[in-house]
Amino acid sequence: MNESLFKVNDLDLWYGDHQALNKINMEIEKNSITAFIGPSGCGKSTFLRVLDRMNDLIDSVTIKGNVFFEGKNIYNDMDILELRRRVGMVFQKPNPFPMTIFDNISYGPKLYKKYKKSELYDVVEKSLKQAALWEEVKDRLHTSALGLSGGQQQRLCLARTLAVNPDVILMDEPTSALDPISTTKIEELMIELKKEYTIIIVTHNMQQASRVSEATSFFLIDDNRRGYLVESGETSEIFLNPKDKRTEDYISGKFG
Amino acid sequence: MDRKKSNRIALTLIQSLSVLTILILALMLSYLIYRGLYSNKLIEREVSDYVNYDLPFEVYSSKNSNVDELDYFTLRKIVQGKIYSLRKVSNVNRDIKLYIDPSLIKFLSSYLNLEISEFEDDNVNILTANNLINDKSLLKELKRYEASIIISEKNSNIKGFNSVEISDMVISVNKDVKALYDNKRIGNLKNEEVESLINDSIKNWSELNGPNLDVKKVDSLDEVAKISGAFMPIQASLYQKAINAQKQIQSLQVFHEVSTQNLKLNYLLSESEDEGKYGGILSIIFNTLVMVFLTIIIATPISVAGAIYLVQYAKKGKLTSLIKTGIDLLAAVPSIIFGLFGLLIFVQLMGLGFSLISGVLTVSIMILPTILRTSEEAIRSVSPSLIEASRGLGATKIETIFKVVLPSASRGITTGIILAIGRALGETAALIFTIGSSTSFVSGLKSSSRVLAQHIYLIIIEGGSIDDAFASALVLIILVLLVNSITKIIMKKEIK
Amino acid sequence: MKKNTNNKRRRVIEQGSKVVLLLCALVSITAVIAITLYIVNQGVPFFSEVSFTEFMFSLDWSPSADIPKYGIASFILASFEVVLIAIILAIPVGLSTAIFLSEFAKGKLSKIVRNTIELLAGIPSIIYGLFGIAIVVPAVRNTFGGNGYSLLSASIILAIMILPTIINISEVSIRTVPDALRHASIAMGATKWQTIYKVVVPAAVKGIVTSIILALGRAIGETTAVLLVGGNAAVFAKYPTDMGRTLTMNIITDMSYAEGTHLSALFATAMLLFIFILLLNFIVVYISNKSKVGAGE
Repeated sequence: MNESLFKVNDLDLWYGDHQALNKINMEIEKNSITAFIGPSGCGKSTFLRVLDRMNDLIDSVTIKGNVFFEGKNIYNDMDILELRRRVGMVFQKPNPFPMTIFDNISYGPKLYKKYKKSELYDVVEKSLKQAALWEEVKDRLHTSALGLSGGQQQRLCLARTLAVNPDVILMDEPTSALDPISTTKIEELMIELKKEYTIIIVTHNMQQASRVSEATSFFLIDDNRRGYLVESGETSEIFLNPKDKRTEDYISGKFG
Repeated sequence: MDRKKSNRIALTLIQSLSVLTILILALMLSYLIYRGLYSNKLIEREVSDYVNYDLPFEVYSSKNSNVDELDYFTLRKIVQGKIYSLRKVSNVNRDIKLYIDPSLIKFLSSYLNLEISEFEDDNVNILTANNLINDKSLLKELKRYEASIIISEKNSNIKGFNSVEISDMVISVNKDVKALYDNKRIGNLKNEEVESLINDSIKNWSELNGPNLDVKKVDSLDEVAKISGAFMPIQASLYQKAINAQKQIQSLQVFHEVSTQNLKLNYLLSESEDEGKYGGILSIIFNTLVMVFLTIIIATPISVAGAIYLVQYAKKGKLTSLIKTGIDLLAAVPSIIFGLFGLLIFVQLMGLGFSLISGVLTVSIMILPTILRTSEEAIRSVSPSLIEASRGLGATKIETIFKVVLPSASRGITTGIILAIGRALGETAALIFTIGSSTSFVSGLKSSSRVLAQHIYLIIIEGGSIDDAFASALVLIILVLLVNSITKIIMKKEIK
Repeated sequence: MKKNTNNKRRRVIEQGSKVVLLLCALVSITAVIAITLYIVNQGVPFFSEVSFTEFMFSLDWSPSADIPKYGIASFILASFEVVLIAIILAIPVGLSTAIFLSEFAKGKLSKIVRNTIELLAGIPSIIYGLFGIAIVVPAVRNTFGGNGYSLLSASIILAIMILPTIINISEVSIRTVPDALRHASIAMGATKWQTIYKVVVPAAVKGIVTSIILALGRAIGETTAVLLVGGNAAVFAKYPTDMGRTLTMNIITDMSYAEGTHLSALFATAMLLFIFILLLNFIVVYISNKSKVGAGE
């Protein structure tokens, strides 16, 4: 058992008057891959965005409960910019900036300090290698990122996130818009990356969840349309020996 | 954190610069409204602002004469007949009708230093206040007339007229005070400076930009004539007497601020006179409305038809891009080029001359893109299901357009029309070379005519009264704001 | 039988209407072509009497001299000077307001700013001129000396007049930058301002440049407002605080009494101005099409 990186206590979330998340309690271990699974609309992505406070961008959101990252309360005890550096996010649809590949990757690091040209190249190379994209783009770093294929763009976004040296990588359905080969590539990456990083992935694809993750959390939506956590645990347990019948039903495809 | 600080500074800066736009607009509107409603002129004259309340007579003027204060010398010239029109006095283009009570003639002759024979001039009417008040029809006529002046006994209380105050204090000075020194000379005094002078706060004339002489207040005009640096505030009447007697005295010029109400109902309702130099703007407002109306009548069908074609019929291709480019280019042409074009085609080539119709046709072309673009958007956003329903029932495309699409898009089209009205209202450069410049009510399509925006321009260019320019500008702004608000109301309804 | 003729009639109306609508749609492009033709027609004969180089590059404009001279270089320079200064003044305020409206879209303040821009856009140019005479000219006089009527005064007024153009078009292009890009930047820990100037504005730059070019076109064609405050001295203005005359001022001032070669000179000036503005708009169309094709490699 690794040390716990995230600790979530009794988290509730409202969009205006409508409660979207109800009493979520969870612990995320360091250097693990955790998968959030569950049917559409049950708040998995919303909860993911709590972890790096991306929900703050929406005015009507109110939060109750506590989220701790490395023991510090992310709302009271942490600088939000620092949180977002340390907790990175890769989105469902690849969203490279309309800039060169090089500028995309170096964007993040340049926010934080001044770099020498050579240092930047090192950072870019390292990130692209980590994202298994280096070989494919090393000769065209100064061409537009928009010229890459979908799968390459997603790996670029991953490299971009890695460039700021985060501790956690949040991934919101990262492969749902990609072809099977790109999907496999990214899944391989995840397994490789977890040695250094902690990864949390929201996915619709249960096979993906069972392939890559060590821990899984299963979400459902209740009669009041609030998302809640049904059960959390080791992936093998959840899939082979779920404690809750609803989990079993979902896994076996009875609904969802 | 340093980044957070620069974040905050940058965002505050952006917000402030945006607010600057509000400040600019507020400054513009408030100044225009102020200047439109109040005129503030600075004139120089020989008397200061001290009003003489001890005169044994009262002066009245008609309400629309813009006269509520007269200085001694102007009053004198009016009675003499040297000033026979209120043009130069208060910008009212009427000959003065002067009525004097017979009992005052002796006093006035002495006060104004005029021979009694001058009171028997043609322009002076002798009538007592009582007789005047009793002659109801004459009284009514004088009230209505814009340049009546009545000099009557004190406390005669004639109702329905302005009370006119008489300022008659002159600052007489020794000639050394006004002499040239170092190529300079003492200039006009402000009223605060006159006051300081009178209550002995000024010790040396150099404090008032005059020569280096000590200020000496004296009690007689003889002393003023003899003692260097002497001055004496004195009633204009006595000053005039002394001048007539060749005394060696001079007087200081004083700045006088004339603050009157500028835009009045009268201005809106009376016709223009002397090709716009005097009088009101009723005919001009009328012409403007006619021009805008005709322009809209001509431009709307063409624009809406064009919009219909673009949305319902046009296919992707060279022709369609050509049409679209044409609209964009037309929208970018500056108004002066339209003016020249109108001059060449409508005025000269088609022989329509400088006339309403030339102007209307020119502006119609100008506003085509405005109506077309908005109509296009409105027509495009009509729900396709409505169209399908109509066609499904067997209606032709054209029938569907007229019976279903246009009514549905009517709000958007109306918005476009109103926007175009706003543009047409403010147009000057395109009309200067096409519509003519006559200030009378337009009598036909071929008559020369003038509109409001153009009128403002002509006043300024021809050196007319700036106050009139601002008054007309205020009317124009009000029309534009009205059009703007109506647009907003219609658009709000559309969203609902 | 009756039903058939009725339907036949309806079909005829259908066909005829299509033609009528097409003709109406063609009015715009016809007008543009007609304007071009007529202005060029009036302007071109001028060059048979005066050389193009003298017209464009000579600073000497004296149509009423014994030997009339028609050099409009002073006016060309004045027009550009006025427009350039106006744009420099307008861009900071315009761009900030555009950013403000699209990035901070909530609240009463943005509503007020939006209404303000609409109003500013609707005010007729003559009234801007009047405002210029009353406020701007004295202000310039008090700050820089001289009599206040100057190219600088004209620039200040023009800057206010072109604000709505810059703001509206820039705002639209900033708005169309996908939120996904903003999210990506924020998720990496960038501040809002960093996101704006590093990601959003660069992504919207084509639209912003378009707005500036369109504003340029508007400004250089403005007549009445600049006429009232520019001083209208038909000589070369060395400094912005000098009185000057732009191309448009030249046309409108002399038009009322010019004849013969002088008149053709004015049309030649108009032709020049018109062609320049057409060119600007073609550049805008070119830029817009370029971005539609896509930002590939």
